[in-house]
Amino acid sequence: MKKIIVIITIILILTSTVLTLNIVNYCILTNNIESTKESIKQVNKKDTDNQENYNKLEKEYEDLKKEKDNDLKEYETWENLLKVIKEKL
Amino acid sequence: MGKSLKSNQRKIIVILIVILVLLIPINIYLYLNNISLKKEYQSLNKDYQTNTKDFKNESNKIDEIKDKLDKLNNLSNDTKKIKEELFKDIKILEDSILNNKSNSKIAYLTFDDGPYYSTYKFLDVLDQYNVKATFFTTSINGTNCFDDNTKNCMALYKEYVKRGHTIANHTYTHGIFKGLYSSIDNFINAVKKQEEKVKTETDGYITNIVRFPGGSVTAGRLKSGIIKELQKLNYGYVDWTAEDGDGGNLTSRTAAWNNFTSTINEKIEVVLFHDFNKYTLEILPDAIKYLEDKGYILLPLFYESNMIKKS
Ligand SMILES: [Zn+2]
Repeated sequence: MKKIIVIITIILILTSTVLTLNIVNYCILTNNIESTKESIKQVNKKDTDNQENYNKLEKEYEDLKKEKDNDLKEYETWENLLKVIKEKL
Repeated sequence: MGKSLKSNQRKIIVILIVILVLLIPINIYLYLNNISLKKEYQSLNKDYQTNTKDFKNESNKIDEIKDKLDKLNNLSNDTKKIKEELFKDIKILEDSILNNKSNSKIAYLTFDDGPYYSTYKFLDVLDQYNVKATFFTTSINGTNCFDDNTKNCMALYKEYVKRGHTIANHTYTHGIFKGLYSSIDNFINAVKKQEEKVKTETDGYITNIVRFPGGSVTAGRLKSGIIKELQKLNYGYVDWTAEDGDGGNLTSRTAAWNNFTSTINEKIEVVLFHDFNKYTLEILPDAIKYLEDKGYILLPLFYESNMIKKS
């Protein structure tokens, strides 16, 4: 009889250990999930800000490009002349 | 006594088995739940990484466009720098051409006596062929255009700068027969006055190249004295090595063309044109092509050039 009790107790202890492990694992996982969700939220927010920022910059760039179209052509002409002269040197 | 001990032991066994039976499904439930949680975590983690990558890409794109914006904002500065480097290199190229160490050829197109209303047409042709030239300006014609009195010609000064041409000094009065060459002071004052004119009309462009009206030979015995004074003012001067004769009596396009082609024979040419002459305007595209076909690089004059004499 005593033997049976000992065996069953051992099985119980093992099962309890597994239970503890499972619970610990559960806690870790839920915690990780929560923090990852939080990180995703933050990255998404930054990404949205970035997107807005990018759109703003892109518009600014396009406007400036139009405004400086002539200067840009001018620059390229000098750049080409420099290239031509460098080749001859 | 033995019986009750046995029944107690039995009770304990039953209790233990009951606990065990309760614990096992809880364990199984938790285990399965953990597996699904793990899957959820992995998928979230994947999302996180994808989003972070997107975020980084977006950030890189922002950096790129910021660079481009910076470049645009610094454009005038960069153009200035590139011109400085270009002029240094042209000077080196000129040196090796003059020392017969290079077979390259350079032509400086110059236009005298403007601004005229017709100057716009010359500027457009130069733009069309991407050629930078030099304009020797004078104020003899006054504010309104000589060739169209209803138009104001002063806007052309800014136009020269905007289109990247060199503005040079052809004296304020151009008065060859009106006292320009009667004294050194008269000539120098006419240069200073035109310099002031250009400075005012362009918001600060300083001329440092002079062409004597009629050519430096016209100054006669005053020439060396004038050159010394010009030197003090950091001016150089230039005559010309080729022309189409448009300063005199040109009667046809053919005459202009023949004059022009017959004078092109140096490795570095300074070509004299006048931006009022209709025959010059007519031959200009062909003249540019002719020079380019002969291997000339067409450039604007600059103070350090060997063509700009300092003594
Ligand atoms: Zn003249």
